[in-house]
Amino acid sequence: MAVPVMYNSEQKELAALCREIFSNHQDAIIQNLKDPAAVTHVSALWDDLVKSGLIGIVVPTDVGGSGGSWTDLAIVFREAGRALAPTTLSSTVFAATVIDRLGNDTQRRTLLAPLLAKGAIATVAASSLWTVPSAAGLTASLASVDAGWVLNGHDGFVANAEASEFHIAAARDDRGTAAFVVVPAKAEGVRLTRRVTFGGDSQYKVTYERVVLPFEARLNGPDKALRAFQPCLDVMRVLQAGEMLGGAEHILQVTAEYVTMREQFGVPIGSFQAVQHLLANVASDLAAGEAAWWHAAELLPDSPYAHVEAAATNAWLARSFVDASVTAHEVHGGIGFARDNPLHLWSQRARQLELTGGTVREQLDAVADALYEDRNDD
Amino acid sequence: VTTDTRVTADDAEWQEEIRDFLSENFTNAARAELRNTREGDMGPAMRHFWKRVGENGWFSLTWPVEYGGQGIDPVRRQILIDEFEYAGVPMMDMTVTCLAPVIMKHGTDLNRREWIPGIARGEVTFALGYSEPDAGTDLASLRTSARREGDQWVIDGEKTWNTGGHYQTHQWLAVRTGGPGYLGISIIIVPMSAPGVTVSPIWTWGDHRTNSVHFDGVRVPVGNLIGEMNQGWRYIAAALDNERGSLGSVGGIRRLLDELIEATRTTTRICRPLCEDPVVRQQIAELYSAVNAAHWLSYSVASHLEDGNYATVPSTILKVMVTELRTRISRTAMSILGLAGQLGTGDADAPAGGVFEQQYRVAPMFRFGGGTNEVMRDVIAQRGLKLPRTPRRKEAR
Repeated sequence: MAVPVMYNSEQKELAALCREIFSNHQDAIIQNLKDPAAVTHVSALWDDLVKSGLIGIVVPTDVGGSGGSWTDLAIVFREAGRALAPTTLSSTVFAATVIDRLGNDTQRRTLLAPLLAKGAIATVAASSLWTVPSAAGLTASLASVDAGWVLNGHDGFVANAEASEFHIAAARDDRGTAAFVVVPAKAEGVRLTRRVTFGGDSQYKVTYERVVLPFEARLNGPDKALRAFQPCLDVMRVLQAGEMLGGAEHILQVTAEYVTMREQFGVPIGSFQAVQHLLANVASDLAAGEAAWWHAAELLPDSPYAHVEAAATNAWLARSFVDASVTAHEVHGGIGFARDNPLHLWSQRARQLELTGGTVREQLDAVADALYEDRNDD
Repeated sequence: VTTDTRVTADDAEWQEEIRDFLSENFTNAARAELRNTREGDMGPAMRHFWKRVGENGWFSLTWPVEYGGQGIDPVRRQILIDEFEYAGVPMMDMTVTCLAPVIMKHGTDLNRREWIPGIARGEVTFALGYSEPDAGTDLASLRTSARREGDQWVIDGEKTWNTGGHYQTHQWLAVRTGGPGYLGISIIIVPMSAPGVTVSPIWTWGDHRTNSVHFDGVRVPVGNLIGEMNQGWRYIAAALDNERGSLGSVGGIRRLLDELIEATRTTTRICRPLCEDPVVRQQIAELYSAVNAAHWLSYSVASHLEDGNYATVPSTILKVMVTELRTRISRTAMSILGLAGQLGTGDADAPAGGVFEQQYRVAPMFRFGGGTNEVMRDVIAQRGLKLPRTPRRKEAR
């Protein structure tokens, strides 16, 4: 890109490593996405990610992670987005983040180990919190019983619910506060229905019917679970922004190459101003998005500004990624419309990411809340 | 201040120093002068202000130490410009931000000795003598000529859109010294006091005075040539990169957005403040997400400065974004403020003192100044994305 964020030498190495891993599996990733019935996952890629310690790159070393920084993880996701990495990466990293931030030490050790070392997949069932970060909106409830807990309710949009070893489900407890519980995907009473989604990714409607869970299933690190969850969501929004950036950069690159090669009227169509200006707009959106994304990643996870920056950057890049894909289809013409060309897979991912983790509208609501709150604090 | 620049601790100290300086020196008298001038020139309070800036060495912050600069981290200069703009200080003179770095990089030793110290002291200021009635965006077709007679250049021609021509000390003049096209252009410095220079005003929609300047047999010493003869296009391009970098400073639009946010708290529609209207909140947040992205881009661009010179593509991207955001913010402001959106300075009820309608009128200048945004997009596509060049001249087709 035109204005590269200045990675230091270690960050450059990390980016190069990720790019190599993802591009080694690029064909398999594309094939996987073209099969709408398949779980959005590529085992050989996953083995490489786990072996390289990338899944737990930011998890502290005391529980088996690599103890890296959030900017490192952001770099991984940018490269993941470029290659259209399976959604199991984001769902598992999201789950790992929630466990690490909300679990006690025993829970962190026992739950993170299979993810970081054995290649297990996990997910978070908390889509109602993307819209309204309050216990009132939760669609599952957790009742206390003698032996532990009973979980009832549903979540309409849970990524990779079937392939996951466990879900971190958000539910309202007897006192009306938000609780996060670990639900084995194969537990009695868990019913999964595969969604038919625009992105062709594996999302599920999950119903929990009298699912009995032991006491230790509830993540019970900090007291205020919802408050502790917010930084996890901010993390996901920034990581997702990185995915959007990488995906859009890929689209821009292949489109720039295409218009340079494709000739009409005896000249490359990329020599026409109309085409150039469309792509210049995409390049500009991404240059600014990159700078904002990097800054937001540097604020993760606990800066008082992380929340608003995550939302603002996510909103910006969500729109930029969608704009990039719409522009790419325009200038590719029929070539990009044929399913042989994988362009539409990036376009589908753009919309899936835009809606997941809070829509643009919801991200902007968060930004507005922060902007207008400022005065009330004085 | 709703948007915080969140600089590092070191930079925060620097930011504090600048804010203290502004509260001490950017006085009410200076602000009143700015409100009351339509000529763009300076009264005593603003002259004093810029003198104090010069005394602090702030004109030459990113210049190399050997030229009297401080060689500091360019991000710091960005913070300075940002804070100045946010406070409403007019853009720092382009002589300092755009032209001096070019003289240092491309000029002769004589050029540097002759011009740099005066620029650093704020005593030498250049107006940009580029556009002509028939050479605007197609600057390479300019016709103002300089021919050599003994140890002098003799200059004839006409320049237009010559902002500052009525108060700057010199003209940074693009002239034809060779054949047609961009390879026949040189830059020559012309004192405005030289016999044969006449200046007449052009008034703009933005209440801004610019000028038409005629040169009739104007004579200057041969040493006033900058760098090498017929290499002027390179210097113009370098100066334009810097101009775009300067135009891409985000402090001004950040202030404009903050003014709008404030105005939405106090302006009501159907008995409630606009800031409680979900549609307005979405619009404001959308503007914020754009200004925020531009803000961080400006810091990223600044960190790529070399000896005070901007890189072409990043500064071009920034220029397009920021100038179009100025339109977008003022346009949105006028719309959401309703009937009050049309009120201008001098009307007691004008939101934010009438700044929105005023900025709406000023905004076009930034979009075509320093290169029209259409050409900027050509640059981004051709140099940033390596797309094939668009044939320009008729004969080239």
